[in-house]
Amino acid sequence: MRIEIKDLGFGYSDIPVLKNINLDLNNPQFISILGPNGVGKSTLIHCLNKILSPSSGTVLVDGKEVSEYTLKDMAKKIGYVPYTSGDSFPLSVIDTVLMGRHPHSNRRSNEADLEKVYEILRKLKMTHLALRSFDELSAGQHQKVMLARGLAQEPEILLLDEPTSNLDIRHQMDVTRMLRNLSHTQGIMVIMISHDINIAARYSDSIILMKDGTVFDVGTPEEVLTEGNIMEVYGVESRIITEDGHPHIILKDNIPDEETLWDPSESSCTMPNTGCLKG
Amino acid sequence: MSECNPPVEDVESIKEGYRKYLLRKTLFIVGCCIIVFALAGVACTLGNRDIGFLEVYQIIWEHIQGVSYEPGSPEWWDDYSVVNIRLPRIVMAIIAGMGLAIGGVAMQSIMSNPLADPYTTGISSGACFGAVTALIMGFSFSSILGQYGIVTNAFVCSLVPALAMIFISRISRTSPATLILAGTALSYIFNALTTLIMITADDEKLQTAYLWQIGSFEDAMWSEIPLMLVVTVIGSIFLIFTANKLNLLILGDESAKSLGLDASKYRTLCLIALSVVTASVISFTGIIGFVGLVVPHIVRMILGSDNKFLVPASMALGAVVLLAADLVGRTLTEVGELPVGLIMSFIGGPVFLYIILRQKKGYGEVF
Repeated sequence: MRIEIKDLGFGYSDIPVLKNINLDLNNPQFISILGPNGVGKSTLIHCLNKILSPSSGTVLVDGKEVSEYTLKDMAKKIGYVPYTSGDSFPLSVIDTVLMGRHPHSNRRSNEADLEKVYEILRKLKMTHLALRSFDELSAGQHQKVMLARGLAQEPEILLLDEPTSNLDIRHQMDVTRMLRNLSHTQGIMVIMISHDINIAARYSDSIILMKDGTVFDVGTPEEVLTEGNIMEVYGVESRIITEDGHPHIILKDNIPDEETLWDPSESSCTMPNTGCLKG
Repeated sequence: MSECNPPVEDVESIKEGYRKYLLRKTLFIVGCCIIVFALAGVACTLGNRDIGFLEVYQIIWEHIQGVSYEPGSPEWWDDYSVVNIRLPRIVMAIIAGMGLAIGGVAMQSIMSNPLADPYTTGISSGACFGAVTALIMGFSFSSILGQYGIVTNAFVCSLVPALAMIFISRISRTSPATLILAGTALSYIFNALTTLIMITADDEKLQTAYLWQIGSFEDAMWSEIPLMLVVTVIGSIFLIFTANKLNLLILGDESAKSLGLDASKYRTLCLIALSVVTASVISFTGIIGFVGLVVPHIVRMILGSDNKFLVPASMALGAVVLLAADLVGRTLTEVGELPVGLIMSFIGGPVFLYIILRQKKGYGEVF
């Protein structure tokens, strides 16, 4: 599996969100995308699986341009776990996960699809939730169900938009570790958007650090997570120490808000509480 | 509560549980069909000639087998009044119940909104406008005037706001909320036009026009059935076979796309299907409120929101509800009958209120 992104650009109407993105992602591995709010992280992964069409540049998945895939073929190749799931009308867990089989099924769900769903629920140790309604679950269980749905697509590449938001530290670690294990044992390329630098540093094989709609740095956690980069991208002073072979970020004090958040030359989305597009 | 060591349940017991869960849903649908069958029999006993409950089925069965009687004989009259006078009304109630209920299911899913019903596009206002122009101004889209002129007008005009909605949903990146607001706006426009025509009319025409708007199955005839039937059957087959796509649509466009569904294309197809079904029903019956809104909710409370079952179960329950409401309307008063549209609102309103308030948990809440 391979994702090649060349000179990718994207804008919502006139506001440019992504510009000049160049990336070449290979092999089963666990990749985290880090960066401040509104920097274009979600937009970037949406450009990978046809949810959005790039304004400029190309995205190749396994050598074929994304626009040439049908939505169904794309869904077989790339699984997607959204940030929130707008469920006005909740289904049971089995039925929710079964929806992940849609790209593979013809007409209605058959026994084979159900078997796959059972298998995934068993692997994620969620069989006890199988018949519960989606709206009766806790936030952590929600994330796992959504993950199960993404896995039911049997993708080669799995995209996750902040799968650990709303989770306590224990569940963040559980989910992130599970994702890393998935990429290593199942041979899936897992790309996750995250806000927790320490957890990303601990489990990721690679980190993509984004700033202002561009890729600021790519590499292993040790290479990317430096005091300089964190200052540059987040505007936060920090100290990096290495323990267990992983970099750990110790946060110092913020540099004053006014300088980073209200800079008029920045894109409008760096202001807090303005309800701008997430990611 | 610990999620680290969940109670281990083996896959076999889950499978068994899921099978039972599907069986329950199937039984509900079968149960509703049986009730429809029984209610139809009861409704068939109402009328001038005294024909018993079981006799009704016998007469219908014999009619289907092609048994013929000497014209004028008591058997002939029984056959005639059951098949030609009583049955059309019942069949119309069943079709209308099915059509309006799937309209509600589809619209609620398209809009991801529990308040949507088949009329959310303003389709009922369009139908009223069409009927009123025929009744009061004598204008018709078809060359035939009278009953069919009204029906044709109602049908054509009801599709105008629906087409406008489809157009709106295609040209811009619209959210369900925008679509609902657009539908409301279209309703107001057509209501205003209807009012404009009605204030110019004389008393008699005004009454006819007003009564048309209140849905009723009175004077149903076999000749009115085929269009409704064909359109409703096609619409329901479409929705039943694409019910899993309807499930995806509720997740929102992003998730639907990521699971391989072209959300906006499918939404348009659904809008077309449900608009034509609803239009074909209400142009014959007038506006029957509440079925499309309430029936899908009742089914969701009993069976859950999986559209694979929600669509057929709502059709079955919709038929039960309209047949029952019509029965009540016909038997409630000695004087005459009350239109089914009125009964639906009168009984449906409080019943629905009771159901909502009895629910322990907020409807469709996600944490």
